[in-house]
Formats: sequence, C-alpha cells, structure tokens
Amino acid sequence: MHSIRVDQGEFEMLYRTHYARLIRLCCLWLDDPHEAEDVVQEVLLKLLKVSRGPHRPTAWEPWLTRVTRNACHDRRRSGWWKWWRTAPPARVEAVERPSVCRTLEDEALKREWQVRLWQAFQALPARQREVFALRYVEGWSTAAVAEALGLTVGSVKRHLFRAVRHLRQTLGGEA
Amino acid sequence: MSQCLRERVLWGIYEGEGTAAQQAHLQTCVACRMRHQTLVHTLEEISSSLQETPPPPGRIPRPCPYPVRWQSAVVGLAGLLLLLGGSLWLRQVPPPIQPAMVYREELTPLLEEVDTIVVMTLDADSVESWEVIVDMAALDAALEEE
Repeated sequence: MHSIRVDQGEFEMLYRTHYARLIRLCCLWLDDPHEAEDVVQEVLLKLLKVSRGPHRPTAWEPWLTRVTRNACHDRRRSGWWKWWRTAPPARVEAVERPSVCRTLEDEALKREWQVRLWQAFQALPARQREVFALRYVEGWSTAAVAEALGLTVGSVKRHLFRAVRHLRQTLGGEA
Repeated sequence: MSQCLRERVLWGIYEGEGTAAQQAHLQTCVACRMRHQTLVHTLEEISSSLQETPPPPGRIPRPCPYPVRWQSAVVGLAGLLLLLGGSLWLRQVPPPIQPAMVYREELTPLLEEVDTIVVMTLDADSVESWEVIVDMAALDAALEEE
C-alpha cells in the first residue's frame, strides 16, 4: 500500500512535468489537438503501468518522448488516420493573446506568419517533423535526438537541415 | 563572393560544427554574417513560435474521401440494383388470392361431391330401411299367429 502511494505521487509529478510538453509534441507531430489528447492519455496510461512495475526506465523524459513518438507513429500508420488526413485541413487560427506593446497590424502580421509556419511545418515529412521538434522546440541535443529516435547523428543532421531549408524557403528566409 | 559559405555550412556553424576557416570567413564576410544572422533569427523565431502557437482546431471530417462523382455513381448503382431486385422479387411472389375465390374454386366442388355422396347414401339407407321395416312386419305377423 505504501509503495502504491509513492508511485502515485511520482506519477502525479511526472504528469505535471511532462503533460504540456507531450501535448505540444503530439500536436506538432499529428496536427490535431484532439488526437494529441488521445495519444497523451495512452502514453500516461503506459506511464502509470510502468511506474508501478518492476522495469522502470532510468530517465523518464526520453522514455516518455520515445513512447509518445511511437504512439504518434502508430496513429499515423492506421488506416482511418490516413483517411482522416485526406480531409481538408481546418482553418488555422492562432489564439488571441493579449498584446502589451504590439499594434494591431503587428499582431495580424505575426498571426499570419504563425499560420504559414504551422502549415509549412505540417508539410514536412514525419521524420523531419520529429527531429525538428525534438531539436529546436524541445531543445535536445543532436545526439539525444538520435538516441531517442534510433537514428545516427548524421541522419538526424540531414533531416534537420532539410527541414530548416524547407521552412526557410517556404517562409521566405526571414521571420 | 565565390568563397561565401553555403547554407549547409552556415547551418553547421549554428550547430557548432564550423571549422576555423569557416568561422574566420564568417567574421570577415559581411554578406555571410548577414545570412548567418538571418538564419539564426529565423530558427529562433520558428522555435519560439512552435512553442507558443496553439495547435489548429480539429480537422473537419469529410463524409467521404472519394470524389463526389464516385459517390453519386455508387449511390445510383445501389438504387438500380435495389429496383431490379425488388422487381424480380415481386415477380416471383404469386398474387394474393381473395377468400371468396378460395370458397368458389375449392370449397364448392368439395361440397358438391360431398352432397352427391350423402344423397346416394341416404337413398341406399332408405331402401334398406324399408326392407328392414317390411321384414319386421312380417316377423310380427308370424309371431302373432304363433
């Protein structure tokens, strides 16, 4: 009973620490917030089981990222997901953020740029999205990304550079 | 300008991979330095935007991923098959028979036959009964004489 209580506390800590990060990653990889929620719930269920089991990973962050990435990969490979992705994308909308010192024009330009960025990012191949998100959004090192995704460092760099080049070309080379 | 760094090299320098010669060129070449600064600015802006930007709302599901002409063709074919099947089924099923017709066609001959048999039986019974009666009278007369 005592060990269960300890695991529950650890699970809650991991949930608070990683939930937002996992949601963001799934949104970047799946381009669908509802699917992202579902995938993260699956991942958290696995986390709960593993945290109570005997075979616990030494580092939770890479483990969670790897499980999340595999879950997203499975989701993308499923037949209904391919069908779903044939649907036309919904209009991309940026959230209304309170502007402190920006003018309305700046806000509009910024929002338009964010929409273009999101569309350009989603146009990348899945592998490039995974690598780019871990390297430039999560801030992982190239070696850590390679280890988490089971790739070589050179392969990660190739994917990264292709993603960067594509994004820069699509966005016009300047932000 | 021909010695200017390629985009891949500029990105490599951003990743901390540039050689000493490339680093030195970057320090001396204004164009390359500007390009490098633009690259760094773009990557930082992309990173921060992808961290901040909320995901787009859920995709609007389309009822059918196939083109509309296929959908209408499939619906039309299904309707045609339904009509054909229905007409064939209707041809196979005999028309409903009214109760009056059943009475006339099946019950009337039966009743006529039964009637004939009954009448014949009654006639035969009546003859025998008369004979029986006659016999009984003769017997009574004989008994009285005794």
